[in-house]
Amino acid sequence: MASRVTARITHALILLFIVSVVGFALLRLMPGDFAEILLMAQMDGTLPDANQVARYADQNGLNDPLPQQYLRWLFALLQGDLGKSFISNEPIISDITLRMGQSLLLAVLSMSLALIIAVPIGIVCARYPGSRIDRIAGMISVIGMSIPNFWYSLLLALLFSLVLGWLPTGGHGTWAHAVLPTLVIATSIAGVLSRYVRGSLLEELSKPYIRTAKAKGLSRLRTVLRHAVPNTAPGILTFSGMQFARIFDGMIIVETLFAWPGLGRFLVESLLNRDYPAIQACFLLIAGSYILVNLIVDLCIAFYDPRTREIV
Amino acid sequence: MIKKTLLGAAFAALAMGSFTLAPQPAQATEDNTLVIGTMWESMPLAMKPRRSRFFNESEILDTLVKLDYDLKTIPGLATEWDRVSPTVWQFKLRENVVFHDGTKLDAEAVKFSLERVIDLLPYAADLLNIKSIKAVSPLVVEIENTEPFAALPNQLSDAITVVYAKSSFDEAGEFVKPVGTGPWKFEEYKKQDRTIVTRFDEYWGEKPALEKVVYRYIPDHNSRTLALEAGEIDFVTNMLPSDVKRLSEDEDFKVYAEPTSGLYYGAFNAGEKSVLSDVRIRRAVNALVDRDLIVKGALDDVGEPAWEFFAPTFDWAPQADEKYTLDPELAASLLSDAGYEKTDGKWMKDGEQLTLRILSYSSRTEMPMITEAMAALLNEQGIATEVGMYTWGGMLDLVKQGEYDVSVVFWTPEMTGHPDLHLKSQFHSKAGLNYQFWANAEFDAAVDKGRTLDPGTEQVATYTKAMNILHDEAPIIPLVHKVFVVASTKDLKNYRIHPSGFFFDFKSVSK
Repeated sequence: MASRVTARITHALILLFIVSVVGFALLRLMPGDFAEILLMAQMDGTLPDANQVARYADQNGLNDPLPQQYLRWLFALLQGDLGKSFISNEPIISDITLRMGQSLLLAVLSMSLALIIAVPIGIVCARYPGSRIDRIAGMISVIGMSIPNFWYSLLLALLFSLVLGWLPTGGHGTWAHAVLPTLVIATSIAGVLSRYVRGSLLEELSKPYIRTAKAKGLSRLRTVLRHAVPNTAPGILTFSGMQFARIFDGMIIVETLFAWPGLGRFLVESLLNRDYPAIQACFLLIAGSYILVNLIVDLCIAFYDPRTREIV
Repeated sequence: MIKKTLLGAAFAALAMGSFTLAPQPAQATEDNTLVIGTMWESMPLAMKPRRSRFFNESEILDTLVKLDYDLKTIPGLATEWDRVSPTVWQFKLRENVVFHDGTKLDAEAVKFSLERVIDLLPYAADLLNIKSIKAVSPLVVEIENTEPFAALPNQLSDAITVVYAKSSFDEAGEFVKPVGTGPWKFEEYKKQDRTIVTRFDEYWGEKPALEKVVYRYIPDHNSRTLALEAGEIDFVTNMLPSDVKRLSEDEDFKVYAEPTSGLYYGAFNAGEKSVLSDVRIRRAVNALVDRDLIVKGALDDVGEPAWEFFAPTFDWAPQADEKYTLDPELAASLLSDAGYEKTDGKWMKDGEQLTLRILSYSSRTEMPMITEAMAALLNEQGIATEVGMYTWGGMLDLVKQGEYDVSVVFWTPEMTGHPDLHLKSQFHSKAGLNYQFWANAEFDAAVDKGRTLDPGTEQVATYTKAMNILHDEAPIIPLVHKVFVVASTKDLKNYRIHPSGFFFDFKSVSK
């Protein structure tokens, strides 16, 4: 078991290494002279002259062979040095720490809320498929999935901030600031998740062992809760993990509307500003968080379900 | 069990880390504090050409020369200035001015600051044209230019020339934080959230009425206005045109709208890769686009139609003898001259329709709407368009390669109250920012001469000549003069929009 866990972690690290190489190479293989592009980004788009470019390339070791540059970058990275932002002139690590913390907070809160809403609904729907409650829940889930976040966010802000005056329209720092963005993200995830729980549970309920359980005389509720739900849990966990990781880079609209300093918006801002050191850091971190969340999910499932230990 | 404990611990850690502050009630701005919602983050810890405008805009730092509400030069940190020889200026500094760190402003401090600015911001060297700076006495700074340079006092009103105290930089000369002489002192910067400035009681001029100004960063245009309506902020900038209309009808709010420095224009590619290398087509395009319709249709009337480069609002700005007009007949004859023929409502030559590749960028609120409107109006007149929206940098890449016909941009040509800044930096054949492949020796000569001349008839005649060439040669199509719009709560008093577009002037504001 321990060796398999080690192997899984090693795989994750190898993947991370590949991602870092690709991320490093992507920016450097762009058309144009990398030194000139970097320098121009720092000079608000004015064209630097050849001397300036040469000096800059020399100072920053951009004339060295790429593998050497990569190793230098990697060693700095391992010491927590991601370079300085072209835009804010501060170490990127301070930006990233803030953004990562805020994204993580939002992700944990929204995911918890989504699970609290979606799992019971999914179970009830699977228990009574085709019933009125199932149809209503299905309808609400579809609305939750398809309602555009930018519109829904504004409606919530209108209601809770402008009409009722209970919550701030945006910003971060107190629990009140987290309520609206959490609600918006949780709703969209809960919609998909409850459908997924229902679907996988229904499939499980059609299996022969459920018939056996029924024949054994277990009540229907006990059958669902004691046998079907535990068996679908790994699938639900994997699915939730994917949704969880999505919050890191896919919530740009919610983050912008509520002025929430998350990682997704940081990536977009960095891209628009051509803040190359920041883009690289985001790339690494977002890919890293997908790898990490997947690793954690896999390990959790391995602990939970002995059968999968072999394949982990 | 272990899982639950871990999860619980993670939650507790998160909760402790993030929620230590008490919740803020939704309605809260204190009486002595002004809270402003801004579209861009203020970044007070970075000294960049674009970003350092914040130091001037918020008056943490002062310039030697300032501009009044007609964009005419008035004393700033310098009380008077004289040209002692064609290439040498002397600036007499204001007495008893102290920096926020308690040190005194003197000629050495100004010399140090300007040299630092030129060193750190390459753009400043072009702008100021300085050969050397000398402190001739404790309160007199002498600046020698590389050529006779009458425009210097105006250029010294540009935000990037603000005077920094020595303690703004570290030992190595790198910028750390803004320490200046302005009425507002830099207090705190919370990343991605707000920048706070407080009143500086030893300020040399009119003391601010309020104690504190908070610049809150709210990137979404809807949310920013909503924050004003919810009472979280007192003042909002860069509203959507639709919100402007709604708030001006609401008694609880005041909406301020004034024409300011700033022009949206299409820059033509006059190089060989574009059909617009033919001046007749450039002039025809200028005669075909109805600017009034752009302002009405795309901007809900928030803007002034632009038929000339400098806005007519500023009486010091030189104008060409003629303006562009909507004149389809003139356009038709110009296009016919250029070998085009109108068939089925399309301008054709050699079996192909006249087509313009139009580039623009979307980060500025009004930019996409103006660009689309211009393209639509050209289509209607029989000219095909291919519109591409990019980031600023992405657009610039294509522009530099000459792979475009029109790039729609925004500049603030009147910002320093002198025509030199933009004529020289945008249209001069040697200008670093001239990516239009347009070169005109007579225009270059006029602009080179204009900056050496003192105000007077010769200066007016020189710049009028430059403007006439710009008009006739038509390297651009002016589209919209910017109207600056902000809104505040109804209790805010004495706010007035400054026409430079980069200066809030909150000193006299109270509530």
